[in-house]
This record gives sequence, structure tokens and C-alpha cells, in this order.
Amino acid sequence: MRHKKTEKRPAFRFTPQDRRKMKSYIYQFFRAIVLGLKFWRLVRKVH
Amino acid sequence: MAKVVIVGAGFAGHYGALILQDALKKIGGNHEITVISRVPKFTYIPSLVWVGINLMKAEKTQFDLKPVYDKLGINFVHGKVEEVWPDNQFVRVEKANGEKEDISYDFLLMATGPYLNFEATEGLGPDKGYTQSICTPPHATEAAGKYLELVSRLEKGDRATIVIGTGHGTATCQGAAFEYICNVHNDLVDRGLRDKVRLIWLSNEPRLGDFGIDGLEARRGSLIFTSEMMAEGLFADYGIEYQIRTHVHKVDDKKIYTENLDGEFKEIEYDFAMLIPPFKGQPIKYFDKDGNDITDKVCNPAGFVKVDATYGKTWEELDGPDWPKTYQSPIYKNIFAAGIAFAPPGPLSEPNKSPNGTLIGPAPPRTGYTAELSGKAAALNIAEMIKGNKPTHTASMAETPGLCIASMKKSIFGGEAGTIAIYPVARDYTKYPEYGRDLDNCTAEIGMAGAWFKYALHYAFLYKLQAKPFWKLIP
Repeated sequence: MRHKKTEKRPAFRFTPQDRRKMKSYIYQFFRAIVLGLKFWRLVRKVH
Repeated sequence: MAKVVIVGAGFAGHYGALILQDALKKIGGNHEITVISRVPKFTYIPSLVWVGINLMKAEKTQFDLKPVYDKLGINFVHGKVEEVWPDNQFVRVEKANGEKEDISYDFLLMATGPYLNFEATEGLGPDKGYTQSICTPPHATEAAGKYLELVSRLEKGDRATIVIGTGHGTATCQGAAFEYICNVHNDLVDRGLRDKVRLIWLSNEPRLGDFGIDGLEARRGSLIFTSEMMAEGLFADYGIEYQIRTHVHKVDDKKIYTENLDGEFKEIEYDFAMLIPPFKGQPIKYFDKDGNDITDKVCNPAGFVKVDATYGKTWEELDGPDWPKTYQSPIYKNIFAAGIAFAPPGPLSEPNKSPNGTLIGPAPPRTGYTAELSGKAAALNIAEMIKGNKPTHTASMAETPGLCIASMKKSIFGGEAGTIAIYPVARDYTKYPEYGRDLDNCTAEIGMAGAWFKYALHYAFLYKLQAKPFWKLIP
């Protein structure tokens, strides 16, 4: 059974720290490894 | 010897053909696969967002199908299927040279992709209307041309309004339009022209970041981070205005005429618009042995082929087990449908009606990875039936992940994209009572890593789908 989404919350904004992380080569290199493994695990579920 | 006909050569049809050829090779015997496609090339559609702003040429997203099929021993017919005669087991094809031919089959896989229904909205589309599209290589190339014309006007000092989103209340593929608006924003920033443009996101989504998949949630530390928050934060950073919960009922050369879920009719003046049309099934007729039209029996009203789903439930009632698993037609057991060609049991996103009775709610997207998985399951099930077994291979959207890289800026250094994973695509509240999805397997993250993935996927998929050495190792 589905639920209609009605929750109210303040508007979301990325923080300066979020934006720095998005553009940091070192941080993104490690995130690429983590996300790549996550994708691989999901793909292995169906292949 | 079994004859298998596959109609369509997109993600579901072409990948299904490769998988089936591989499976039949293992079974042995002199089986025959014929792929019929309206276009002689495979197109990697996810990269058309780049073609639409001239960051990539259309040819870079395509390859010729015939050499691949010749290499694998698959027959290829360049033509359009007009009729299917399931009792007599043949399809009637109009070939590219105008000749008509009846091609017989023992098993049929319908993977036709969508018919782009621009006619649903007056003035929509590049051919008979005023808006652009990035749904096909010619459309994306034309959109790039119009976009560059606008850029040259901006360089001369003009100001402009660009509207990007969906062109009808029931359109889908919001993700592609979202990628396009983000790429347009970043391209204008790079050209130093962003301050001259009012950029508007216009969509039928019930909430921002819905993308036709009922949005997504992912864990971010102790926070549940949603795609709505992601889109909201990004649009604030990019200075993109948005109007959601909106149906477009008419477009002329100056204005887009809309109706929203509050029943309000509005107009938006624009200089350039890229609006995704609603999809319907390809106009293929089905006939029984006496020549009676049975299209309504085989397909749903939109022209998509009915498969092993539970049809007729409301959005509130619909749950994971209702989604198709084997993609087999319940009426003709030797017919399968995959990719966009199969009829979904209902929408993923909440459908709503305006006070005037206009339906405003995204249809479920079934492109890319989901299409590939359904094509693979259908192909393997055909191979099982050829062996004399029952179809056992499943790829329900309620059991498979949705993986998407939403490009925002195309660049290896300094690029940006959203890395999105959901599991499963269709929410299953029976299995995951809280959110309908396994949040440990869901991701929504923006960064440069996504831009690297987008490049990697472009080349990996084009390599795999050309059946080059070790292609089977690429999932």
C-alpha cells in the first residue's frame, strides 16, 4: 500500500562544505570507488 | 529449428538479441534469430543530452547494427513492422526500400521502443510544432542547432527565456530533461551568458525530483536525503525556476499554455523550449486468424503489449508483486514484450487530476538498464521455451535496481553528475514496509565522480553492445 507524501520541511540547500566536496578530486576519487562498488553489488544481484 | 523474431533494436531488443544468440549457441541446433528495426543503427540514448547542446556529435552515440549481426549470425531486416498475426505466427514488414514481406516466427519479442506522441499537445515537437526534443539523434542534432542560434543571439546582447521539461501531463523521461537543463545551465555559465537567460523547469511531476519513479530516498548519515532535496538544492544553486504539477495543452511560436493541478491556466513566454513528449506504443496492429483486429486484446489502450502483470489496480493498491516478471504475453505464450514496449501495470509516480479533470502524472520510465534487463529476461525465457521448459527468468521492476547517472556538466575535470541508484525500481511495500525500497542500496549524490561514471558508461555500453571481445563480462 502506498503512502501519499505530505510531509512539510524547510527548503533544502547544499552547504559550502557540500559544494567543496563535489569539486574535490581526492574526495571524489574515493567516492567513485565507493559508488562503483555499490553499483557493482547491485548489478551482481541481477546478472 | 526455432525461428525467433525480435522487433526493435534498442536497449531491450538489441541486448536481447545478443543474449539470445549466446543462449542458443549453448543449446545447439540450427535456430534462427531475425531482428527487425526501423533504424539501421543502435543509439546510446543517454548521451543524446550532450548531442542536444552540441557537446557531442550524434554519430558518437551510434553504431551500425548489420556488421554486428553479420558477425554473430543474426539476420537483420531494416524495416517497419505494421502488423502481427499471432495465430498465423508471422509479422508483416514494410522494408526500407518500400517492399512488403511476411516474416514467420515461432517466438516473437516485441521491443519496439516508444512512439513519440507529439500530436497529444498542439504545437509540440520539432516536426510540426515549435519545441525541441532530444529523444532521437535527428531531434537532438536539430535542438543543438536551435540552441546555438539562441547562443549567438545572446552573444549579441539579447536576453532569453529557456523552458525545459515535459510537454504533456502524462509524459515520462523527466530524467533526460533534467540532465538537459543542468547541462544547458553549465554550458551557458562556461560561455559567460547565464545572466542573460531565465531558465525554467516545467514538469508534470507531483514533486520536484520525482523523475517519474516516485522520487527516491537515500541515507546520508542520520538524514534521509531525497531526490526532491537534491533537485531543490541544485536548482537553487543553478538559479533555475520551476513549475511542477503542470500539463502543457498548447504551444505556439511565442508561448507555452499550461494547466496545473490547482486548475489554473497559465502562459509562459519562451525563446527556446525542449519538452519531452508523452509516449505511446508503436502503431502496430494485431490480427487473429480470421483477420479480426485484436490489438485491444493484446495491447493496453496506449498500444503497449500486455504481459504477465496484474492490471487494473489503482496507484494506491499497486505493489511490487503486481509488476511483470517474465514479460510473457498472457494470451499468446510465444510472444514477449520488453523495454518500453511492455504495458506497465500502472504508474510509479502518484497520478493526480486537476479540478478540470486533466490527468497530470508521469508515466513510468523504462529506459536504459531496466529495458536491458527486461530484454535479457525475455530472451532467456525464449531460450528456455525452445529447450521445452517453462519461462523461469525474471526481471521484475520490483526486484531489479535502477541505476542512473544524471549528467549536469560534461567534463572529465570539473564535470558534475548525479549518481543515482534505487533498489528496487518499483516500490515493494510488502518487502520493504517503510519506504518500499531497500535504503541501504539507494544512493543520490552529486559530484565529479558521477561525471567520470557517465563517460565510462558511454564507452562501456557502446563496446558491449557491439559484441566486441569479452563483451559478456560487462554487466
